[in-house]
Order: sequence, then structure tokens, then C-alpha cells
Amino acid sequence: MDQFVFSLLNINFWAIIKAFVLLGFLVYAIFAFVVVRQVKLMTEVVNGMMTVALRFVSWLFFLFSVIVFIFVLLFF
Amino acid sequence: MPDLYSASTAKNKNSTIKSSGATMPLIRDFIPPAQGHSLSSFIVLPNKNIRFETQEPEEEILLILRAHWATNLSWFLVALLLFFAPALLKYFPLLTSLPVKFQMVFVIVWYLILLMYVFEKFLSWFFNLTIITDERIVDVDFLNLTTKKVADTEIEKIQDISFTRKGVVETVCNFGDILVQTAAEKTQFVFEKVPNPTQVVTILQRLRTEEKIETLEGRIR
Repeated sequence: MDQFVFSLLNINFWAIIKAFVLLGFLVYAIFAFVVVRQVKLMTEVVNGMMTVALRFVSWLFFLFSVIVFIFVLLFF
Repeated sequence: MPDLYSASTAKNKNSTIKSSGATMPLIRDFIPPAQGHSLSSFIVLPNKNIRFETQEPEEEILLILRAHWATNLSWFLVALLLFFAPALLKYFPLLTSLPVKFQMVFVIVWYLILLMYVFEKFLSWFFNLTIITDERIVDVDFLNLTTKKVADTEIEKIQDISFTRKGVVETVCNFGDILVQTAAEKTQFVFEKVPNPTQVVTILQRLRTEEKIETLEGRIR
């Protein structure tokens, strides 16, 4: 029992925070991918209105979120 | 004896109708001249490259409407405030108790959330469209990032058209809500905050009259 309590006290608080932050960034990246899909579907509903530009921006947005996730994973 | 009715010669110049086997040009003088671009709220006779999913080959888009640009001001101002908010941390050091790395991550998270907010708001405005063709009304709703809704009704099924323009901003900027009641499955279409509501209502009424006359005369397009 003492060992268990001791191991609990030894947990690094900031490591837990870091894990949650990484989880948050991962969720963000998944959400950005949903945006890419949604933009693709919407530009199919109405075609010819800035279709290329919007798809490009949505992919850029997704790539940016992935890059941020990797950056935080490696250097944080 | 003068002609009591001569609508077949007063229709859209870009379309044709067939009457007793003869093809004649249509002229719709109630449609304003072509105007607007992809980011406009009021696009009249857009170029032929703009098409929607269920558009028929001969169907012509007459109007594309979305909410007036002034409706974007509120979220734009919020975004602007949020953009400069981290600068206040210099004067209110709320994060100083955190390690430097976490302070940096906090700022990154802040701007990522802001980016998502701005992008979602823009997409929501951009894809909330009402398309009026020579045959029907198509209502495209982008409710949020995971929900879209598309509904349409034929113009001849329109029963009642009304509009509301309330408040100072709507009066000054000339935009309002248009309510279209139909005999179709979806009984109500609401075009929210669209510019020039009077003009849109007039166009819809004229199109409805045109369709009724076509039906009475047994004409096909």
C-alpha cells in the first residue's frame, strides 16, 4: 500500500499535463481532417465557387495542425 | 385587336421555350444585369462554371444568395479581439507560474482555436446558400462542420412569399429574412439575412407567375 501511495506521489504533474496537451493536439488534427472532408463535400454540392482555393486552404489547415502536433511531440 | 397576353416574348434572353414546336428566346426583364463574384452575397446570373449537385443540364441559375457581409462583422470583431488578447499577458502575467514551454504551448493552442473559429465561421457563411434557378429554389445549409442540409422546391409549388427587415443594421444595409411557404414536402424555406429582399421577392413572384402561365399554356422548356 505504501509503495502504491509512494508511486502515486512520484508521478510528474507536468508529464500528465503534457499527455493531455498532446491528446488535445491529436483531436485538433482529426478535426482538421473532418474539415477537409466537409469542404470537399460542400464544394461538390456547389461547384465552381472558389473550389480549388477552399480545398487548398483546408489541406493547408490540416497539414499545419499535423506539423504543430509533431512539433509539440518532439520538442515540448 | 391588341394582345391581351404576350409573356412568351418577354422572358429571359438566355433561355428558350418550345411552343407548338417553335423555339423562341426567353427574356426576363425583371432579372437585374449579371453581377457579383464568388464572395458576394447577391450573385445575379453567375457564370456557367458555377453548378450545383442536382442541377439539370438545361436548368439555369438566376440568383445565388447568402447572408449579407455585415452579418460577419460580429464574429470578425470577436476574432480580432481574441487575436490581440495574448498581448495583454504582458500586462497581466497570468501564466508566469507555468514553465516557459507551457506558456508557449498555451499561446499556440490559443491561436489554433482562433484559427478553427474563424475558418468554421467563414465556411458557415460561405456555404449557407440559396440558389434560385428558372425552375426551383435550392436551399443549402451548412449547419456546422459535420452537418449539411440541402432542400429544394419547384417554383410552381410556392404558395406565399414574405420578408422581414428589422432593426437599424438591416434597414441601413438593406438585408432581411425571406420566408417562402410551399406546397412541397418542406413547407417553409427561410433565406436568412439576404441582401435586397424586396428585389428577391419580386423576382420570385415573377418567376412563379411565369411558371403558372407556362403550366396553363402547356408549354415545355
